[in-house]
Amino acid sequence: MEEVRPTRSELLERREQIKLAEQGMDLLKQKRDALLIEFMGVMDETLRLSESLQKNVAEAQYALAVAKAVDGTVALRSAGMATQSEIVVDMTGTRIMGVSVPVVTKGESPIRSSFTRGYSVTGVSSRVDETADKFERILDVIIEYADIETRLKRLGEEIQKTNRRVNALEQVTVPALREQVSYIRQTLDERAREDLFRLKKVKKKIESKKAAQARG
Amino acid sequence: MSVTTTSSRNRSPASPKDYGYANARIRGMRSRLLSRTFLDGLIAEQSVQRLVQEMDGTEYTSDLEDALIHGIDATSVDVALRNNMVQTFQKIMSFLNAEAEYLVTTLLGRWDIFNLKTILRAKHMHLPLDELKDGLLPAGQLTPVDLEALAAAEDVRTVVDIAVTWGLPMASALREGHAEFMRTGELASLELALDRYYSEWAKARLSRRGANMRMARKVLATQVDVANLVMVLRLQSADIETIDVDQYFLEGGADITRELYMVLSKMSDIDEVLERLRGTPYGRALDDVSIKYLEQNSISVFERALEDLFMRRTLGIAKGDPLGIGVAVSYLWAKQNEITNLRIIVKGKAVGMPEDRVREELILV
Repeated sequence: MEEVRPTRSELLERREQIKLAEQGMDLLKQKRDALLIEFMGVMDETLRLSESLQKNVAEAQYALAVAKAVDGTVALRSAGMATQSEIVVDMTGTRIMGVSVPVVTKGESPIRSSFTRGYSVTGVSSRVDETADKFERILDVIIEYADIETRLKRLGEEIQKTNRRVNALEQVTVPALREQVSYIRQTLDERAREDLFRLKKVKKKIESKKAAQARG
Repeated sequence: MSVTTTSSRNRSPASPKDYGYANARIRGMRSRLLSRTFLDGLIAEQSVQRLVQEMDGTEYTSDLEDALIHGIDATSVDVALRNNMVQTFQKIMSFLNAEAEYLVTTLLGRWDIFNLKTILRAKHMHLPLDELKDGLLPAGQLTPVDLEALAAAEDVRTVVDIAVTWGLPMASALREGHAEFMRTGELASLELALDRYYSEWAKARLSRRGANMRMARKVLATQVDVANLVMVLRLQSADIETIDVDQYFLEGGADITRELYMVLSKMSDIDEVLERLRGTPYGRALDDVSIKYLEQNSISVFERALEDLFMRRTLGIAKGDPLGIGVAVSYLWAKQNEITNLRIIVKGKAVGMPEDRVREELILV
């Protein structure tokens, strides 16, 4: 246990600290509950996007396999050369319950039409075109998913951190302070009893002294 | 450069219009095409490895041995099939008579357009040479050496300049498309100029008289009709208010005229297009797959049905005249179809595609 001076002022200070710690604990518990509510909402959205991503990936892979099989790898490679482009993503930030979370937004949708994909539609089969479309849809979901997953991760980390703080206050700090208060109180009571005993003895001595003088 | 003249290739000793020698050789080669039973056996195989073993002893053996040195997978098999196709096409070209060579090079000219587009795309995107080489298929007049020289060009402009210097047939289209490319910075316009050029160029080359010329013209016309029909169907899902529909029409078709194309492309939905096409040679093929289209919601269903129809028609032209161009053309497309079928089976096996789905994609004639 931390070295404690068993004084009345120390006792008052410790009591004040307990009160402050309990208030902090309540606030942290409230924050944790609010973060959990937010977390569950984000979790639902993440699951929805995750399922959508899995479905899109499966469909795109299948379309790619069919296009590769029917049109050949060469045709696909050639079309792929024409469609290369960059994806513009905007990165900003926001705060949820005091937690900084990055916000990822699409600068421009990666989904293009057959006529704006970079190649001439007359020379590319609809299988290749539909495959490109499916992969662009994956990109679209991936950007949304990146945003929501980062948010989920940050909220999760914050909930863990808050939980650790609540536990530390609840199971370490407050019990330690209570122990110190109890120690100070015991020490002060002990001192009070000693004082009382000493005073009684002094009183007894004075009284016996006075009685002797009266006799003598 | 070997493309400026058609007389530079090795040729059989036969006269310019004697098809006897070439057709006899082609019939021999045709007899070695894989049967439907053999393909059924391949579909039933459990793995790509077993499938490749099963193909031992076919025309593909040596190409497979060369390509599968580093292991058996679908991509290596694809390379082997591609090499086999290029070699077969080159072999056929080596013994065709002058007229047949003229007709076949015209019909295979689309491969030159394909390769040129690949080179232009790679140059536009500044892709490395190795990556570019994987996207080439020298099945047309441009030889691997020609393609390598074009691929080594620094940029789009240099490719156009080389094409003009060599006097390639499509140089004028490249020059015209390059001006538009410089203005917009988009390669699609240059590619479209090449596609349009090819159909016009091929139509002009096949406009002479004669039974063989007529037969080749018929193949080209069906090919162009199919391309125009697929475009009409693709336009149904596009915002046609913002697109110049007319520019995507390719000349050289037979049944799909420019007027019909314009009417079809402005229709409100696919059902209306199918209704209007009833009575044309393509109506039935499209109608047959209309339910499948509704199930899959994919234009590629119609495209595959039209490819199927085109393949059946092209493979059937050999029946009319055993001493005409039909034998060579029919064989070249049959070979191409066989390679596509093999690729579908191998790829289907590699990704675990159900057998029914594999069979649906095959064109068995």
